[in-house]
Amino acid sequence: MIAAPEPLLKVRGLCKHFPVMSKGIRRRQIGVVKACDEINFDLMPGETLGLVGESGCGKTTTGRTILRALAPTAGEVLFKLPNGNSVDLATLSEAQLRPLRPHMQMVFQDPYASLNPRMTVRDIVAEPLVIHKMAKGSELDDRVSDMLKRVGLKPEHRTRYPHAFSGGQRQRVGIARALIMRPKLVVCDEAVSALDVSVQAQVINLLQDLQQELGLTYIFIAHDLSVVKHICDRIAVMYAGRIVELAQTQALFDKPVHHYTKMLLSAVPNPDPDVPMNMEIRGEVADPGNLPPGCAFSPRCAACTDACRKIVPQLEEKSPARFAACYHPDL
Amino acid sequence: MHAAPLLDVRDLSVHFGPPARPVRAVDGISFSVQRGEVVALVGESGSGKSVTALSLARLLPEPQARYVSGSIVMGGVDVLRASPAEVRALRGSRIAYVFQEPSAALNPVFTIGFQIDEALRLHQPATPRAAERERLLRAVGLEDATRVARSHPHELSGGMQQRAVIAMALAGRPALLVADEPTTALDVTVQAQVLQVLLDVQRAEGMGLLFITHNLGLVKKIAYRMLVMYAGQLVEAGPVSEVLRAPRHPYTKALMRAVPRLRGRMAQLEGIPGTVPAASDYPAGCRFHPRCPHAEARCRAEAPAWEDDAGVRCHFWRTLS
Repeated sequence: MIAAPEPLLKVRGLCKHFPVMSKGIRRRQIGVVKACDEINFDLMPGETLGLVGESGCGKTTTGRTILRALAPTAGEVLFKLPNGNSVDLATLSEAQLRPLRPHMQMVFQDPYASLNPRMTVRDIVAEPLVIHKMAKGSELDDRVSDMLKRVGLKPEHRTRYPHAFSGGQRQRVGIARALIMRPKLVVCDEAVSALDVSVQAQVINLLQDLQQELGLTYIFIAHDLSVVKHICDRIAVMYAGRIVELAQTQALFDKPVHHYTKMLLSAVPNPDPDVPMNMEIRGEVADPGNLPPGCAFSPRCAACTDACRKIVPQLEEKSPARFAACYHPDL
Repeated sequence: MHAAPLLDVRDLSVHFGPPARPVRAVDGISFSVQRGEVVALVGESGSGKSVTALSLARLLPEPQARYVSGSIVMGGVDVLRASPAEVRALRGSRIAYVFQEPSAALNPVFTIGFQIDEALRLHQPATPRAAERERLLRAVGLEDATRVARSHPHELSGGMQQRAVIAMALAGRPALLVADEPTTALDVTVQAQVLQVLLDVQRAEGMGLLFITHNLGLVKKIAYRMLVMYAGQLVEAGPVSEVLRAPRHPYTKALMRAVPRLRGRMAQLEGIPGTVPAASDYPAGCRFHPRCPHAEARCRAEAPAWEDDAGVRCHFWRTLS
């Protein structure tokens, strides 16, 4: 009998608040933007969790704060190391973090901005190994060639510069750079958003194949729900800095429980001729620097009552494995 | 028979670069848009759809862009043979544009009201401006018209900016609106709203609308007829419901399979191998053949002709469907 596997990552009450300063000489803090607020979730090894939402909902901030590219304002990020120990990434110093960095990597959105145009592909992909002194000489070259093959590029591409590649190929270079450290956790921040559909499908398939081969765990940040559906096991929908719904992918798409998720799903255009058209979208996206009291979605919500306007609803398990932050979930 | 179409493009070719080794961005495309009709032009990056759109009002920089053949007829005027003054008279009043990035289309140092007034001064000098400005802003769903008119672009969200751009485009009461990826920079819920605004004003004003997009889902929502471009040429055209239900060209078929769906389950997405060829270096024969699963010797040797009745450019579409 195998014991139930432990989560690779436990995020508890994670917050990242940015101060808003006044203009002028005496810059005083006049407000706060809660870019990500009270984020809680577990991530199992080998799982893909989608973080979805519209611009400004805090999905990128959440991803970056987990990896400590940003320092969290509050909360815990418990990461299980390969040796079985657990560490709280949120409290470690930079020096303590550095030896852990190989275990967690990031793939960025824009393959034109995330690769240094003055470095060859070999140097780009080898750089993490060099920094962490994990390989040199012919071993380094072998690992770079091997990684390039795995992501569908040819070893002879090593001497080329990024400008010689198409967008899809550059994104493969970015993936190779992230995976050469053999990380456990990979945060893909809009990793396929900048690509054309035909190429996007290739890169999604590559990410899925590599996950199988290398046993990766992904946090997949995206605004495109149909892409997320393809790659994720579970999905967290964010609105105005908070997770409003968290569920298994199929359950979420079959029957969304939170009213924001419903609106979001109905807005996605679908090319199938037999799928009917969507419902009405009400109001404008909430301004994270000026949130209403209570539920941030309440001004746009058809089911809103007085309670919604007073106290922020917490993310609770409404039915098995199904979490929503709503007083009136559509169960 | 038919009244003359609003826009009639015949055999249009637009080349860039040295004539000895031209970059054939658009290579012999023909289509028309009728009064009050919504036509979608679909393609991936580099397929030539934006160059086509910009050619219609001769907005490409000349002499870098060369209109090497064809005609673009609007209201009895051939844009490619008209004088600069005649073309200028068409811009804004006959044909207007909405582009992808609203923050780039608006001038950051002037208020929205001022920028709409600018278009009104030019195109409707006799109309009372304040009232017309308010009418336009309300028509695009900006109910708080007075406040929006006083705002600078940076004070508005992306969706509101794009609505303001649409209002400016409507100021010349154009017969044809060309919307080039107008919702690509917007979030899905905002995209749905802006799309609805576009359809509402299109119906209210009885305009023709040429909607350029890479998103097949949007095509179904907005258009009656669609044109699919690949490597500077049309590869398929027809009513949206027919093309999406039973695509004829292998490229359209592959594109449909590459789109991830919200409904139903798909085990794996099917990407299209390779990439869109560069416009300076098209393969011989059919331009899709290196990526086509059905390519045969004939496809590599002989370029398929455009079959206008079937609306497809493929040697083997009959046997494939």
